[in-house]
Amino acid sequence: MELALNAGFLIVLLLLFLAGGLWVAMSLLAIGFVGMVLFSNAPAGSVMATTVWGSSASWTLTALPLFVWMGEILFRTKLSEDMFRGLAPWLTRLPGRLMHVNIIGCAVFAAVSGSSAATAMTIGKMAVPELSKRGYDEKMTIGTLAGSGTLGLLIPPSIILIVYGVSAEVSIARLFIAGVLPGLLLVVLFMGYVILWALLHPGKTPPSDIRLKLLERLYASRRLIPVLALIVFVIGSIYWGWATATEAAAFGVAGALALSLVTGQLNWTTFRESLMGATRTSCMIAFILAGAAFLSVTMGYTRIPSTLAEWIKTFELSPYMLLAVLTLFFVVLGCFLDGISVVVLTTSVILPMVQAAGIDLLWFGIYVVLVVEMSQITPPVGFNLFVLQGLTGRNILNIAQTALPFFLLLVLAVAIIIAFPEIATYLPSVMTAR
Amino acid sequence: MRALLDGLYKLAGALAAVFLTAIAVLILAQIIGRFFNVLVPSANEFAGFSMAASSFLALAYTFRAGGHIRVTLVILRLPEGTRRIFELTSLAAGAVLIAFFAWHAVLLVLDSWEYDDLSDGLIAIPLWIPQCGMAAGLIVLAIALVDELVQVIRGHTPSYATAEDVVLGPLAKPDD
Repeated sequence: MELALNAGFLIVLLLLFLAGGLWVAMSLLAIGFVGMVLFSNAPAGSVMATTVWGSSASWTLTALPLFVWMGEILFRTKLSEDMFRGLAPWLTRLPGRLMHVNIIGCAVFAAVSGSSAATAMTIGKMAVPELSKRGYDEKMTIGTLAGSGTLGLLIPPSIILIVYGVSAEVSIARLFIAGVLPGLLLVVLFMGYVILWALLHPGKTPPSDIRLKLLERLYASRRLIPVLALIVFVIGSIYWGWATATEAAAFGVAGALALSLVTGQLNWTTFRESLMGATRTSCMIAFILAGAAFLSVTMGYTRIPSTLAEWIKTFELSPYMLLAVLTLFFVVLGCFLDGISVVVLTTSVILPMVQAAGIDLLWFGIYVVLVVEMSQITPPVGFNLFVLQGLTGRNILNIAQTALPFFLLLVLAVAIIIAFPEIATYLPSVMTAR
Repeated sequence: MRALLDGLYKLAGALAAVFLTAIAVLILAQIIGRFFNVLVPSANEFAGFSMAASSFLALAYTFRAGGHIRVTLVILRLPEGTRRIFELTSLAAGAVLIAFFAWHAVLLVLDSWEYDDLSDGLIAIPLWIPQCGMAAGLIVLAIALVDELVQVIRGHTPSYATAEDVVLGPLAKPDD
């Protein structure tokens, strides 16, 4: 009982810190500190310093800045412009035509960047004007973009999977490979929905204005092909066991620099901007991870997570029920917090409970990311909604409405990977791990 | 004074970027070395140390660029005056917390120095050297928080306010 009170006190305090505008990483550190002072005799200050040092000076974590940097370099090339010209000729035959550029474009960009906001922004910037110029349905254009933007979280290299892997101590390489099939599943679901929609509303897809022969199509996508090759190489080198996640990331940086050098887009300004951008993003995430590492140690002292696990056990929920409850919980949490904070709080507090329920932590990582993807497109704090609001000038509620079918498709995807967990776990089981 | 402080944040940020580059160079050197059967000694440890140095040295620079995330859902809806109080409280709380953390990071450096703690790996280096990066980064962040607190008390807009309403990281705003 006393423990429940303590836990309640810490939760209220955390909400107070967060809602009051204290930075997320500092809120985590502060709660860790308060918890440790109140519920243990350990010297809080020195435990904070040693824990944070131990978790920050980590070789595993180095995959993070490198993948962020790779994305920042490619982001500053003309990749997004090439994306439309390169993809459009291949997709005009499908019902829904160029609407699919949004989905495939986001999937490809997701494989380079790992950030869902950046994905929606980049693809949206080049696709929205082209689609509206041709008279495509505006709601569907924005909806596909909002939905597919979330692919950035799942398709490797994914920043949020690195965050999960580091804080839950699950192999990042295996998580990346586990994300491949669920990512493709989402692409198929999204494209299937667009095709179905186009067939049901035949008047709403404008006629095709691009007719190119095979060679012309290849020529139009000539600058896209090296990028695709780089992605396949980076993910493949992890899958075939040639490289660890960190090494693959270093390849990625070298490859991205080489690509932008060859295409004449690398100069001192773009190099410096990409490097500083990567430094900021990676610092922001590393700081949150440091705070979460300290909070986890405190949680160990307070015995809140283990007690919570015991308590949940007494209900004898089936794993399905537990996942249903957790999904609801995450969607609500995701309405107020960003994905990275949701993931680190999850791993510090409820992971023992998940383990006690016999759920595979590798699979759970993919599940959490899928649920976090949902929260990217739900108001009031769906980051993708904000990005698209800035991009299209439409009201955020309208955008949320256009994204609703895609939200439901994400729910369907969660149901599918719960019913068929092999979609996530098969590839990692056959990969050559290094 | 202003120029000095801004210079400090920029210098720390630039050093952080150098350490980030060092990670890439170390890992690539290790891969290339493996091809030619040359061992790059302790590359993994040094990459980890560079990671810590990069993360902590960039703290203040990232803070001022609005890179650290916070929940603005509530405070953005508050009236100007109340919002200022929340802003000041957050800055003051952050400053106290980070100053305390920085102090213990310095103690950690002194401890490692006193007990001659060495790193694992082929090249064992005294641990206090890489730990200095953490302490230095936290001290600079504490300074930045106090600096910001003073600026807001004087009625200036916080430097991080320019970007904080735009999504996650700087990745999301190609226009700046």
